[in-house]
Amino acid sequence: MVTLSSQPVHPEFIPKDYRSELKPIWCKGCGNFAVLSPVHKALSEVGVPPHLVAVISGIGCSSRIPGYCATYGFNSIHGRALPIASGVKICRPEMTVIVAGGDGDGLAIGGGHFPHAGRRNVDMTYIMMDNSIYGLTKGQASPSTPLGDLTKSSPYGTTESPLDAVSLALAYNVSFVARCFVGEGAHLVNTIAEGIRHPGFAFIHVISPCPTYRGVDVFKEVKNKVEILGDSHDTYDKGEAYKMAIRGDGKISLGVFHKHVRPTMLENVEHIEEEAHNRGDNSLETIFSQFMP
Amino acid sequence: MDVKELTIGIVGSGGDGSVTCGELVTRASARVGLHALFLKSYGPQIRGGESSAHIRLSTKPIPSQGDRLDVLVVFAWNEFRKFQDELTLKTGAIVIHDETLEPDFANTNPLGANFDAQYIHAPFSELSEKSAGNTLAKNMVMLGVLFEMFNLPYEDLCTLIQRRFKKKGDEVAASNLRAVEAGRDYARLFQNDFPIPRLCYAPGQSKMVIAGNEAIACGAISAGCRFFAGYPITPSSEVMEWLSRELPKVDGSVVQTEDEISAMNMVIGAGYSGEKAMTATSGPGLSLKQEAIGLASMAEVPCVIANVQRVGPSTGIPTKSEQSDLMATIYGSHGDAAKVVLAPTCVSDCFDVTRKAFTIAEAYQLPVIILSDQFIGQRMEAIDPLNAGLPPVPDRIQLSGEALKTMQRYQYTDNGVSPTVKLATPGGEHLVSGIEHDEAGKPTSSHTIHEQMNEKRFKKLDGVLNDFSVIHHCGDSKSEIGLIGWGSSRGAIEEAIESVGKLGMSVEGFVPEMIHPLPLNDLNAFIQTKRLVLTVELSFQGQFYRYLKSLVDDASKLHCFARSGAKVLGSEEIVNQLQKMVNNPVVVN
Repeated sequence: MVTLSSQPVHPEFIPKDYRSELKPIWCKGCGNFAVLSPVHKALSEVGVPPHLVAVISGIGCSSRIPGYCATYGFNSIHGRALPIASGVKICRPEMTVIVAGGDGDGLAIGGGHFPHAGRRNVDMTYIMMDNSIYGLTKGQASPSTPLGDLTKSSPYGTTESPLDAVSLALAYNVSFVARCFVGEGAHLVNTIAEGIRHPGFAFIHVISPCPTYRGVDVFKEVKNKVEILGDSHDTYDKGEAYKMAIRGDGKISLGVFHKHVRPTMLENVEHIEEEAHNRGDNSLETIFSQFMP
Repeated sequence: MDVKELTIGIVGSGGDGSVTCGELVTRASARVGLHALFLKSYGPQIRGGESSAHIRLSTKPIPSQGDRLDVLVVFAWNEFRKFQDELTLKTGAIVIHDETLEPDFANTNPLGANFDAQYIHAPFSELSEKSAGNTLAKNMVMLGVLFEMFNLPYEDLCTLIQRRFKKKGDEVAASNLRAVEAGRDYARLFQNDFPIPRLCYAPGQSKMVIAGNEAIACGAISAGCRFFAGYPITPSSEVMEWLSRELPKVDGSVVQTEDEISAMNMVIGAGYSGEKAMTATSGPGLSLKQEAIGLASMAEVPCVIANVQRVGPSTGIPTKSEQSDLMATIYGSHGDAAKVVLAPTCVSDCFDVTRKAFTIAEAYQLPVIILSDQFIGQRMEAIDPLNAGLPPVPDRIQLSGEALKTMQRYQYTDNGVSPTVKLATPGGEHLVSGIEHDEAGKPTSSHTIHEQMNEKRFKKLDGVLNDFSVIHHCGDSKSEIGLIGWGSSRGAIEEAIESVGKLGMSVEGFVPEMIHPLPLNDLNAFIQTKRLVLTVELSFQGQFYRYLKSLVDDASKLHCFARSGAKVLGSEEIVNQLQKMVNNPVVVN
């Protein structure tokens, strides 16, 4: 396995270098456009060359992103981006791994992988574009659709209470937890860049309204509610992070709620390898000889 | 009387150490170069509880477990009843039990009041008490009796016991050795009283004692596999457990994932990144992995999946063997998913087949399923030592430099294999996907491209078949009776053919290693030369028979013997079925 080298800096890369010529299939006004370009900008800001980037996704509108990046990309199956990305990062530590997906992908069908990616602390950046709807399948309720909302699959209104991805990430002990809004572009670019630089699993929840199935007004509604966390916010204080994630005053906090540094999956893997090496001769001959009676 | 082969059963309650004894018999025999096959069976308890050991020793390679026991050791008769299905005795077998069990046994002999056997009521408990100071060593006394009576390698047993109990202190080792000796001395008292089948052999090179699951793990590490992800599931967990300890020694890593789905996908991520990667599972896990196996097929990511079959459907019987995942591996996963299924037929085969699985996965960029089963996976065999000096299997062909400028990840080629590039190579950036794509990897919904891509993906199977198909033939090629089976049935098939040979019936056996793609030309040629062909398998529905029937030219010759698993296939039942087919060939099933 390749050992992790310090990330080379190539300031010569510009956002366009990360953009493929493929034209997005998204609707006019889709929030995902406003995520795609910040991803390219953040990558160029960090300076990681395109061949050292792997963008990995599952299924959904937002999961089309790998196709729109001139990097290594894997558009996989619904909900499984995190395990695939973990396999890539563990085997190719030199890659900067970006996982992109939606609320259905990450909170419903793939919801079981999220806590474990958090526990493992695989050094990658998970961008969840939350539009509170299943857009690709044309308008069914998602795990983050507000209670009582009418959708194609909830003609009498949804009855299940919505999930808050940020609170979940905090509970999963994710080592970098942030929320962004597509209407705050500069903040989004900076946060993605910070997430990429974070040594560990970085989760960035991006509110990305769907004008087609959630209405054109949602963007404006969210815009009026968002508030970027000030410098006084203590990112080490988990209790404070929860409070800001689920504040009851109708406002939506943006920013980095919490971050901490602890050994990453890769560091643990290296540590285990070291321990294993210390157990003596590691030739296959010796390993197989344990079966001699 | 000298014999070249001996089959021994040991059964008892938790704490009797039946399985430990079975293992010691196997290991001691392997040390002197004897062939051995050792099956263990447990009750449903998590720890402790009743268990049985079934050991077959021979001077020649052992094809199967052997249908009937020469020797049965019983520590508890009530436990014997639970394993009666699996422990059948030869007429005139020797039955050894503790004399304290005699009164209970005399009233209710589970073998049947008139069963013809030579009973030895040995004072295991008493001798244990005298030699070791307590009754805990009665299994050691028993081993002493067993090794003396049947001429097993006594010195090697002592070495193993010494080593085993060393950690517990010299006195523990010494008292156990005294118990073994007491058993040996006791057995000498009656060795001339009646004919005893004594194993006759010339000591040779030590053999390796290993289970199928461990052999799969060894095959993986030898092939160059450096990433494993898995979820605990019986009866395949040993693959993960062994690799968890050994893979980091060669700079590989193992992840125990949150579920079977994650394991499969993580392996796909690793495979995509250029690593040789694998997962192992059993039926329920296979069902969960199916969608991702289709992804590996569609995205053309090399990966290996070991499926160690157990009794299904659903939870089934996790600790027992069956061959009922056949269709799920061949046709499982939605859509037309090109993949390869290989079936090892014995423990040493597990090593070779696993290496081959990686070779195929890398060369043809697709998922390869190793279809093993509990019978192979958890039994131990004494085999010739695995070759640690084999080179890793070749990596997939990866482009670099100028060639990358025109590289198309899913380019149509003569053999269906498209160029690929190692992740992190400048200029090699590309998209892979589970969504249908064109040669460049761009998503498409075109019928024409989908048709061409399916052709491309399935064309790879022609090459796989051509390059890697192996058929295990046995018996007489001129025979007009054929016998076809797969996987772990091979041993029983070979023995059945030998048995019917002695009865004057000539039969040829055909066991393909490659289950999918199926070596159809060879199969058709085989069937063509036969008048009648019997297929055998452990699947209630007869999945293998149905599979063959749907593909071969002349299915009218095929006769099916299919039954549920949870009991391994024996050669006797195959012999019966062959006779039945020949005598009444119209309807067998």
